[in-house]
Amino acid sequence: MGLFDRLANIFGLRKKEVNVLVVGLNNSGKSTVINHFKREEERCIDIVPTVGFNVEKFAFKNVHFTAFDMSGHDRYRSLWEHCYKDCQGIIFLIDSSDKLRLVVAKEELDMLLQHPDIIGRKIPILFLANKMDLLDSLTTVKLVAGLGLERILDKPWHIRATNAVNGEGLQPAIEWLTDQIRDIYINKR
Amino acid sequence: MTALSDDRPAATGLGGSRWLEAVWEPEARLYVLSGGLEILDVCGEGDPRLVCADLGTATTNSAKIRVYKGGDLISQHNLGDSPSGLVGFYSENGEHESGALAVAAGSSVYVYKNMRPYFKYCLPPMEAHAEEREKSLFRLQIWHRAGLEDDPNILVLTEDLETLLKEHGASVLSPRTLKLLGMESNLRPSFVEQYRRVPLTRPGVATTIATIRKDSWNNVASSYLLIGTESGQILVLDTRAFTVIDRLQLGWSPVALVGTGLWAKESRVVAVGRDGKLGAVKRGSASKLWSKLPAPAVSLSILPGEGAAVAVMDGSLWGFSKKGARLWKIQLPNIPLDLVGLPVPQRGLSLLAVSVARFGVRIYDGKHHVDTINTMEAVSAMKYGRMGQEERAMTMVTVGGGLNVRILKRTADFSTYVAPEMLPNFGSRFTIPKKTRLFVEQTIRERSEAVKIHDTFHRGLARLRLHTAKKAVDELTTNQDSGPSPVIIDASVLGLGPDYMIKICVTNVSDALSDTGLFIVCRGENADVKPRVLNLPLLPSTVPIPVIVKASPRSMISGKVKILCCKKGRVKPVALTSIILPAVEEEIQA
Ligand SMILES: Nc1nc2c(ncn2[C@@H]2O[C@H](COP(=O)(O)OP(=O)(O)OP(=O)(O)O)[C@@H](O)[C@H]2O)c(=O)[nH]1
Ligand SMILES: [Mg+2]
Repeated sequence: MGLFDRLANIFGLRKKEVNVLVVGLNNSGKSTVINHFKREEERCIDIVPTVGFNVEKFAFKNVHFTAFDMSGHDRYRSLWEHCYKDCQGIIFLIDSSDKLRLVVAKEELDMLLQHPDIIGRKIPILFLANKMDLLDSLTTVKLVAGLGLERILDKPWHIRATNAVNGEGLQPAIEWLTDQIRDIYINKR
Repeated sequence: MTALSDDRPAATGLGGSRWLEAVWEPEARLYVLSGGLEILDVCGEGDPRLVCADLGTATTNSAKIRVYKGGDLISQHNLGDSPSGLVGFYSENGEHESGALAVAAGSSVYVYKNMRPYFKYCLPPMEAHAEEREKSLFRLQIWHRAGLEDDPNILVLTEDLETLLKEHGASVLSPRTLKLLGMESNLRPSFVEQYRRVPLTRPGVATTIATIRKDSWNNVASSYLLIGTESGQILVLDTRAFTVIDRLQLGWSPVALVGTGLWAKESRVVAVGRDGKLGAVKRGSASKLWSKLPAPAVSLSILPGEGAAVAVMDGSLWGFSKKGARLWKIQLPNIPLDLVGLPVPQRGLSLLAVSVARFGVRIYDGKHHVDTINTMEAVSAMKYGRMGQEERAMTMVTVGGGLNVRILKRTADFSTYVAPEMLPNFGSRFTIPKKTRLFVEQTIRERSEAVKIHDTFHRGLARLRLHTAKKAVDELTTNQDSGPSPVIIDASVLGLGPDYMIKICVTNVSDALSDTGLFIVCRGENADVKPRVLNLPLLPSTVPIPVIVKASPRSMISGKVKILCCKKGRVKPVALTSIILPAVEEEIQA
C-alpha cells in the first residue's frame, strides 16, 4: 500500500465498493427500501413484485453499494443462497404486520444462518421491521423474540422499525450497516 | 414401505416436521364441521382471509359466520339458520373485486359481498309427502263438512300424522305438521283453522353447496353455484342474476358435491349422499351411481384426473376414477373427520389430507401414507390454500374449538416415500398436469404486465451488454504487453480496380525470431478480401516479408480494409492497420 493510498484511506477518499444482499419474504418491502436509497431522480414510481432478482446501485457516506434485491416469492427463494458468498452485508426485511408468516421468516432466516457460505462468517445483518405504520404491526422487541435473534452471537446485527414508503427509520439503519461494513472490510483491507 | 409408513412425522430440513406452526388459538371456540371453512379475499384487497361457518353451541341457536385474519377474529355475522356449507366464488372472469361468499343455511342461500349481505336466494318449495297431504285434506274436509266446532277430527288428524312421523321420520314432514304436533292441544284448532286452506308444502332445504367453473381455467374465474337439496336435486345457480339455469336430477339428497370441468364445455358433478351413495351427474343426462359405500361418507375431494376420493365413516378412504371405477381403498387407523386435497404444484404432487380421530392429520399420496401433522386435538374441519400472503397454509379447526394454522415448508419434499413404490411398476403413467400452476400464473402475469416485463427485460439486456462491453474493454486494456516480439505491418494498394491487390509487409522489429502462431486477418468493410486469413511463417529479425491479398469493393463507394496481425490464443491483435480502397471509376462504355 503506497503512501497515497494510505492517506486516501485515512481520509476516506478511496472508492469503496461493497455488495449487500437484500432478502425477506415477498411483499415485505425490499424493493421499496432499495428504491428509497437511490437518488431522487433515479427512483421508480411504482414497484411491482420482483421476478428473480434486481441489481441496484446506490452510495452512502462514500461507500458504493451494489444491492441484490432478491424476490421473496417462495418459488424464487432458492436463489438467495447463490448470492451469500459474494456479499459483505445482509439486509433482512420483515413485514411486521404479517404475523401469520413470522414463522416462515424465521425458517428462512435459520436456513440462511446455517448455510455454509454464511455460518462462521462475521457478516453484518441489518433487520428492518418494515411497515411499522400499519396498525397491527409487531414491535421490534416482539420480532427479536419471534425470530430468535438473540441467538446470533458471531455476527453483528441490528434491528430497526422502518416505513419504506416515507423512509422513516431507513437513514440510521443504513448508517449502522455502512459503519459495520467499513469496520469489518474496508479498514482492514 | 411398512417401516416408512408408521405414524411418526418425517424429519426433513432443519426442524423435525414439514410444517411450521403459524397459529394456535385453543380458545377460538369455533364449532365447524367438514365443508365449513373457506379462504376468501373478502374485500378484494389481495389478502385472503379465513371464513368459518360456526355452528355455535348446540343449545342455543347461535350460528355465525366468522372471519379471521391469521389468528385474529375480525368480524362475525349472525345467521338465522344452521349453515350446511359455504363457498367463495367470483362472478366475473379476472375480476378480484367480484369475489363473494355464499352460505347455504336452511332453505336459503345467503350471498355476502365485502362481508355485507348482498342477496338472499330462497330454494323452491318441495311437494309435501303425498300421504301427509291426503290425510290432512281428507280429515280436514270431513271436519269442515261436518261443520263441527269439536276437536275429534283434529284428534284423529294428529293421530294419523303422529303415525306418519313414526313411519317416515321428521325429515319428510312439512314444518306445519311438525309445529301442529308440537303444540298444546288447546291451541291446535285455531292453528288448523288458520292454515287449512293454504296448500301444504315443504320448504326446499339446501344440504350442501359447491361451485363449478363457468368457462375459464384462470385463477380468478367466474363460477356457478351448485346447491344440493333435500329433494335430490342439484340446482345450478347463475352468480350474476341468481337465477336457476339448470337442475341436475340426482334422486337422492347429497351431503357433499364437487364440480369438475367447465360448465360451458364438459363438466361433471360428483356427489355423495347421506346414506353412502356415491355418483356423478352430467349436464343434460341422468345421474350415474358409482358405488354404494358401506357407511355414510364424511367428505369428498377431487383427485387428479377428475376422479374423486371419499372418506367414509367406517374408517376407510376410497379412490375412484373419472369413470367411477374404484382405484384403491385403504383402511385408516381410526374414523375420519374431514378430507381435503393438498396440491403441491412445486413438486408436481396432488396429495390428500385426512383428519383421523386421535391420529392427527394424515397426508396421503394416492394410497400411500407420506406424512402426518400431529395436532393437540382431533381436527373437525380443514382447508388448504392461500391465506394472507401465505400460499401453503393448512387451516384446521379442532373438535375442542381451537384454530390451528400450519404452513407447509418451502423445502418440504414428499418424494422420498414414493420412490421405492414407483420403481417396480415402471410402466405406470405419471400424473403430469397439462398446465402447471406456475405456468398458468406466469402466463397471466405476462399478459397483464407485458409492458413492464418487456421493459425490465430490456433494462437487463442493456445492463448485460454494457457489462460485456466493459469486460471486453478491461480485457483489452489490461493485456497491454504485446509480448517479446513486436511486429509492425504496413500495407499498400496496388492496381486500378475494380480488383485491387493489397501488399502487406510484415516486419519483425525485435532482435530475435518472432513468435509462432502469427497470422493476418483482413476485415473488409464494403469490400471482399481473399483470402481473409493468412498464416505467417516464423519471421526473421528486421526482414520485411511481403504478403499479397486480393480485394475488390462491393459497390461504387470506396472500401476499407482493416488488417490485423494476431497471435493464436490472444484476444488483442499484435499489430493493426487499415487502408482505403479507392472508389472504382465507372467503366467507360465503348
Ligand atoms: N404501509 C406500508 N406499506 C409498505 C411499506 N413498505 C412497502 N410497502 C408496500 O408493500 C408492498 C410490497 O412492496 P415491495 O417492495 O414490492 O416488496 P418486496 O419485498 O420487494 O416483494 P417481492 O419483490 O415480491 O419479494 C408495496 O405495495 C409497498 O408499497 C411500509 O413501510 N408501509
Ligand atoms: Mg421486490
